[in-house]
Parts: sequence; C-alpha cells; structure tokens
Amino acid sequence: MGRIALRSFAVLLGSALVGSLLVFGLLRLLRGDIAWVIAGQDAPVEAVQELRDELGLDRPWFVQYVDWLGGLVRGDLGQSYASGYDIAEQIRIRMGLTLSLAVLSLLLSLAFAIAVGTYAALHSGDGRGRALDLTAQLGISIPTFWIGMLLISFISIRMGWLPAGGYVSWREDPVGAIRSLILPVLTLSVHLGAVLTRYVRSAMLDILNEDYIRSAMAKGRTFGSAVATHGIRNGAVPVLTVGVLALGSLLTGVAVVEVVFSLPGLGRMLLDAVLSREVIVVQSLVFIFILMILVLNFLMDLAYGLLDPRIRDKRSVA
Amino acid sequence: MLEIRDLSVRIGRHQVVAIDELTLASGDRMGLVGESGSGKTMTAMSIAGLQPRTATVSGSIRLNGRELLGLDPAAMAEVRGTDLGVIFQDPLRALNPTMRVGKQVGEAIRLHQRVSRRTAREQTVELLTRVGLDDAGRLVGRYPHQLSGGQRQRVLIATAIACEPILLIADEPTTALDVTVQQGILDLLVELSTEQGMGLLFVSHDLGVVRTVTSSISVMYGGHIAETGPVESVIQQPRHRYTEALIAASPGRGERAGPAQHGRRFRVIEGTVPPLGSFPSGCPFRGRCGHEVPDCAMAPPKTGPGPHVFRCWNPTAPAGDEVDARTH
Amino acid sequence: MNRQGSSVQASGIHADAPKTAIEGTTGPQPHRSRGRRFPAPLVTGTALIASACLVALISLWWTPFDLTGVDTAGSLLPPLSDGHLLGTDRLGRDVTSQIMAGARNSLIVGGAATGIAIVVGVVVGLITAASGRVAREVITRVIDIGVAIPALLVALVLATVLGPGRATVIAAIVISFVPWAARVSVGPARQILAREYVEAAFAYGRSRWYVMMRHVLPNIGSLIAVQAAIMFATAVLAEAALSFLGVGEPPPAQSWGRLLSESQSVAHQAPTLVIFPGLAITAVVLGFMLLGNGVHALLDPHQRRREMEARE
Repeated sequence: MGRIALRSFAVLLGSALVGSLLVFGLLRLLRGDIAWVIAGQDAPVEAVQELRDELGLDRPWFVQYVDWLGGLVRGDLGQSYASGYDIAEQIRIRMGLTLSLAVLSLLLSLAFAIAVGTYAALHSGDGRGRALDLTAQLGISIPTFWIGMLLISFISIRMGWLPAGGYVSWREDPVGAIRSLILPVLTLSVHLGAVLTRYVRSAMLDILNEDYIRSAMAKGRTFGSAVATHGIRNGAVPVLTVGVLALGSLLTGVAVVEVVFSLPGLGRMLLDAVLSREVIVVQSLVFIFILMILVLNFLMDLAYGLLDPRIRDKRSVA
Repeated sequence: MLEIRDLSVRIGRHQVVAIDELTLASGDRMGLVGESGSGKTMTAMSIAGLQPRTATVSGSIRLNGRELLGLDPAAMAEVRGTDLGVIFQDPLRALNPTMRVGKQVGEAIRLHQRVSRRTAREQTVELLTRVGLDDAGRLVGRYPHQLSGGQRQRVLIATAIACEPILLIADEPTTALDVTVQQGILDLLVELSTEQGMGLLFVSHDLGVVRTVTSSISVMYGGHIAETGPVESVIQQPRHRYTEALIAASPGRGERAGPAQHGRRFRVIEGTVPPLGSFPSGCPFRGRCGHEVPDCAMAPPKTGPGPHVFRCWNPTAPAGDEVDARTH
Repeated sequence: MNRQGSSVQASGIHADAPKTAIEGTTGPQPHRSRGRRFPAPLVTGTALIASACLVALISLWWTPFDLTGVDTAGSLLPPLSDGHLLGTDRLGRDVTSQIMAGARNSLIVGGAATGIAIVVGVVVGLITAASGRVAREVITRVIDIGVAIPALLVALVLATVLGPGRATVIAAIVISFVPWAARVSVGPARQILAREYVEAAFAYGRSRWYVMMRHVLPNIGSLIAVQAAIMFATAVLAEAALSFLGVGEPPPAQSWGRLLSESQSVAHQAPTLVIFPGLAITAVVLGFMLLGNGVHALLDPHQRRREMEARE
C-alpha cells in the first residue's frame, strides 16, 4: 500500500507540474505581452516598461516560470499590481473559508446522497423512485448561483433569519461563522447532492442484485442488513470513480457562491483578479484551484485502494 | 424434514413454480433437475426465502415442522443462518470482493453465536480445514479474488455449514468450476451430508452429476415436477417422456451413463424451453414431446407405484411386467 | 444469479408491464416493442428544448418590446403591468423581451461549444482508441487530468487575457469538454475495434479511416448523442454562471446570467426579477438533462431491467 501511495503521490506531483506549465503557458501564449494586459491597453509606454522591469517580464520564459515555481514553494508570490496586497498572504488568509465551504458541502451532499440514493434504488421501479430521480435531475439543472440568490431573497431578506452575506471568522464569533456559512453550504449542496444521489442510486441498483448480498442473506441477514454491511463499501467504489468529476464543479461552485454571498474566499479573489486583469494573481490562484482538485483526486485515488483490494492488487502488479 | 405443499411462485401474472408436493426426509439428498427456465432454482431459492423481490410465494414450506412461508424477514433470516445453509452457483460473485475471506465465514458464526472475534476466527480456521482447505490459517486473511475457484466454493460451503444446518441447498455448486475440481466439491458435499446427517437439496441441470451425489431425484419442467423417485429407478426406468428425453440428451459420462443410452448417440430435445407464460396448458411439455396423445391437453395425473411417481398421459413402458396407471 | 434465475426474472418482469412486454428471451428482439409510448421525461425534455428554440427564433424578428428601449420612468414594474408580462427591470426594459433574447445566447453558446467539443473530442477519442498501448496510456493520463479541470476555471484564465465575451466562453467550454468527449468515446470505440467483423474489415484491406467511419462511429453514435445532450445542459449552466460573474458577452447582448446578476441589487424591491431568468435557465438545462438521460434509458435495456428487478 505504501508503494502505491507513493506512486499516486508521484502522479500528483507530475500532474501539478503539468498544470502549472499549462496555466503559465496559456496566460502568455494567448497574449504575447502580459505587461500590456496588466497595465491596460492605453497605459503610457513608460509605465508598461516599468511594470515589465518590476515583474521581470523581460527575462526568458523558463526563468520566469522557475522563479514562479520557486515562489509557490517558498510561499512568496509577489504583490498585486492594482491593490498592492501580498498575494501569498491573501491566499493563506482566504484559503480556510474556501476549504470549509468545499468540505462542508461535500460532507452534506454525500450524507444526503447516500441516504436518498439508496432509498431511490430500493424504490426505483415505482413512483417514489421515479419522482426522486426526476427531482435529482431538477437539482442538477438549477444554476447554483440562482439557488443562492433565491435563498437570500427569501430566507435573508424576506424572513431575516440568516445573514445575506459577509463572514465573521471562527475565532471571533463561532455562532456567527456558522450562521454565515449555512446558506452558502446549502446552496452548494443542491447541485452536488443531486449529482451524487444519481451516482449512489445507480451504484446501489447494481449492488442490490449482487450475489454476495444474497449470500449474506443466506448467512442469516435480512435484506436491509445485508445491504448495509456488504453493499455500502462496494457501492462506494463506483461512486468515488464518478464523484471525482464532480469535485471540479464543486470548487468552481464555491467560487461562484462566494461572489453571491460576498464571502472573502479564494473564489472572490480570483474573480476580482480576472476582472482587473491581474495576470500574476490569476496565474497563482488558478494553479491553487487546480492543485486543490488534484489533491482531492489523489485522496480519492488512495481511497479506491483502501476500499477495493482488487484494485490494490492490480496496481501493485502493474 | 422438508415438506413442500402447493407451492406457487408467481412473478407478475406468470406462475413460474407450481409444486403440489415435494418432501425430503431428514439427512436425505435429493437432486432437483431441469433445464434453464424449469423453475428449479426458483423453487430452491423460495425455500430459503431468497427469491427475487419481484416474486410472490404462496403455499406451504415446512422445515422440521415449522412453517417458513409467512415468517417475517428477521425470523426467516434467523432460519437461514441456523437450520438452512445455501451455496450458490458462482462462488466468485457470491463472495464480497472487498471483505477478507475469514471475516465472511466468521460473519456466519457471529450472526448466530455470541462468541468473541477470536473464537470466531479459531472456528473459522477449523471450518475451513474441515472443508478440505489446507493452510486455512493463511487463507482467512485473503480476499476472494486471491483464491482459486475451487477454494472459493469450499469457503462458501464452510460458510453454509458454519451453524450445522439440517438442510443445505446447493444451487448448481459446480457449474462455474473447472471440471478438475468439480468432483472434489461433490465428494465434500456427500461427506458432510453423511457425517452430519444434513439434508441436501442439490439443484443441477446435469443428471450425471446428480446421480453421483443424491439418493432421490425430482425432474422439473415448466415449473412442475414431472417425475420424482429414487435416483436409480428414475434414471434407469424413466416414465415421463421429458425425463426420458433428458436422459437421452445427456452425454455419456463413462460408467455413470445409464443403460438407456448405451449404444446410441445422445439426442437433443426438440425446440427450446418456451419463455415464461407461454407454456401450453395441460402438460407443459406438450409441443416438444413427440409422444403426444389427445389427453395431453389436460393436466396429467400423478401416477406411479410407491416412491417413483410421474405425471404423464403417455408414459414409457415400464421395464417390468407391472403396468400401473392408477390415478391418485 | 444463475442463468436460469435471471431469464425467469427477465421475462417475468416484462410481463409485469404489458405495454413493454417482450415475449420470449431467445433470438434477436427489438428493445422497443410495438405500441410502446415514449416515456414522459423524454417527451417533457424534448418539449422544453423545442419551446426554447422556438422562443429564440421568434425573438430574432419579434419581441413584445424593444430590446434596447430604456425607460427609467417605467423601471421595476411588477409583472402584468402596462403590457409587461413579466414586469420591467431597473432600467425599465421589458423582462419578457430580455428573456426571449437571452434564449438565443444560451442556445448559441451551448450549441457551438457542444458541437465543436464533440467533433474534436470524438476524433481524439478515436485516434486514442486506435493507437498503440504506450501512446494510449499517455493520452489517457492527459485526458484524465483534463476531465478534472472545470470549464469555469478555464474561462477565467481565458477572460483574463482575452477579455470577457461569447468567444471566450465558448472556447473555455470547448477546452474543458474535449477531454470529456474523448474519454467517453475511447472505451466503446475500443470495444468495437475488438469485434470480429472489424478485424475482418481490416483483413479485407480496409483503411483505418474507413473502418472508423463505417463501423465504429455509427456504433458509438447513440452513446455520443446522449453525452452531447448532457454536455449541452452543462454548457448552458456554465454560460449562465460566467455571464453572472461578468465574464460573458457584454451588453447590448442579452443573457440570462447577466439578467440575474443585474437583479441582485434590486432583489428586495423586485423579487420577481430574480425568479424568471433563473426559471428559464433551469427549464432549458432540465430539458437537455431529461433528453439525454431519457435516451440513455431507452438505449440501455439492462439498466431498465435492473430498475425493474430492484423493485419490491
């Protein structure tokens, strides 16, 4: 298992390197001179040259790339051109909020999906199952930001139950922090919960007809207890396989929700940087997002091996 | 010990099993034989309460005098682990791929006996040794995919006999296995049954295999029992036209071949088993039989002397002089 | 489950639903037997898409009010006032007209992005399927990474250097969909390539191109159509989110996402402004989801059977 974990980690590092190159390259290939992008098309030539010197944009590209990578590792990413903040420090401050949003909604969605998906699988032939499936498809179809807006309109503005936005840190006011996270997490969980519910349902449909469920019953279990003891772990593998794909949309969903609820996370920071053309900030932030996706992928990859001994054996042979 | 009366299994509006009577004495071994679609597996699974959830079962199934039909799921589950063991056709699929073998056998023990994890583990090793697995101490830590087909089926047998059931239902236990390991499994089943006085309901499509394992045989067709009796009597003197055709269609198996097929090639039964719901009325074998008489349009009566009974309007001539077509 | 058991089950199940009855389990049988009604979700999905297309088309020639007509006197009118079916926005523009024109935007972006991505992705997938083991492993790895990167992130990168706009959005969605389309076509394409009749075609001296076009593509076509519908739905969602974030096509073009974004600041005065554009997005996305999943269910009798078997 250790060797396999090591190999997964190597893949993670490799993918991260490829990802960083892609982000770095894409931002430069599309526009030859990013100094103009940052400074604006109508900036005076001297100002652009000054920016070029300051950011070292005259150096060969791989020197800039290695310099940036080094900065990522050291935690020194320079300063924002427009606002002057320290990029790495901002990322550190905002990271916690973005990760809490992502992890909390992932947990909520999973819990919801396992319960509802299993129920839907057990009733897949009848009206209840069909209604649940349609509801899940509807949940996938509703834009996340719109759900957030509706919740703000009705729960915050109309009812005044929960804050419409803003964030107080855990340390200052834990209750306030929870209150400000409830609506964003709910918002995020609709789409992800619906996606995962369909995955769980489909995995469970397969599991329910497996012979080992029947043989667990033969040992003296009822159907429900057989599914609970033998089905969940087996069902988790296919759910994870497709669930990985939902993680990317979860993270971008977090970014959008941060905008809707005016939460000071990485997503808000990224959008501001995009709209003010801060290439350097965008470069680092997009990489951080890709890194988060890759790390989650890596964890899932480890989880497969832990869940399914067949995958483990196949990998150590390969 | 096992008494089935008026058993009916329906899926939707189709009746897949209709058995008026089937009994198995304590410690006896009976083969349930038929082609695919004959209802033999459905019958066996209904006894254990493992029929598909779409099926509805009615009638009476008694095990040691206790009525099984109508038991609530929890009580039925308790019967399954204790009085009733089941083994399945495909041992790889019947084992949970993500659970160590030892734990899967131990589960059967711990579900019904209040024993510690360690005791259960010791009993598991004992059981595995008992079913002929060498090196059981190491096998318990393996996963199903790391075992051979024969080993897996032995593990399943160990699971099924963990609580010393009085009846073991074996659903085509050797069909998915290599020919070379089949005999070992069959011998083990016979041995366990003899030693423990455990009844065996052996479901198979293979008359030759059934013959080496069981003492009596019931031939099923179209959800009905066509013929039932002591194994030698049925195979050597089949009375039902379907049994006759089935024996003729069995490839010779060396010394196991019945005299009926000496000196001739084995034949195929014309046509295929009709899809569900399209069995003809009267005798279900009508249309494929080749020995039809006008009466075949009506349900054939139960006929025959003693333990060997059959349902056929135009049976083969009995080997002896005795002509008996008494209607019960 | 042994063969006997499952065949019994299968026929029993079909018999359960007389309209879908398939008598017999032998021989080739059409999946859909005579007189079968199309399932309601499929019909609903098609109807939703058709009406969105119709509205988009009509909006090219006619909308209830002028699209660019700003009338600050008549701003934030509630629905059904002064002939404004859905009311007016902050600038006094008719919401009905805006939503009608917004359909155009969503369908153009969704259609263009999905179309390009499917063509490119399937070609990549077929090439991957036909290439040797090492090349296939490498491409598959790259595809796996690509699939994990969401369209929104790509769009934000592109928008930084290219600026907001429809082209940016389409390009971003295409970039993130190509690995997806490639991934779903590799497996099935390899299965077809392994079939005997394909090997026979190669033995006859048919070119790879011929085999791909003649044998592989038609066989994986329906599967790709299903994916295309799901992609279309995803593309419409992504476009809406990007427009909402201000990265979509700038005014004077109309888009549902931007309508919602503009309604945010006046949500407490005119709550209906928040509702209608969102409903429009949901309807179109749901339409494509229902269509894709509905066709998938029709194509996959195995799943249908599984569902029937699982019922109590």
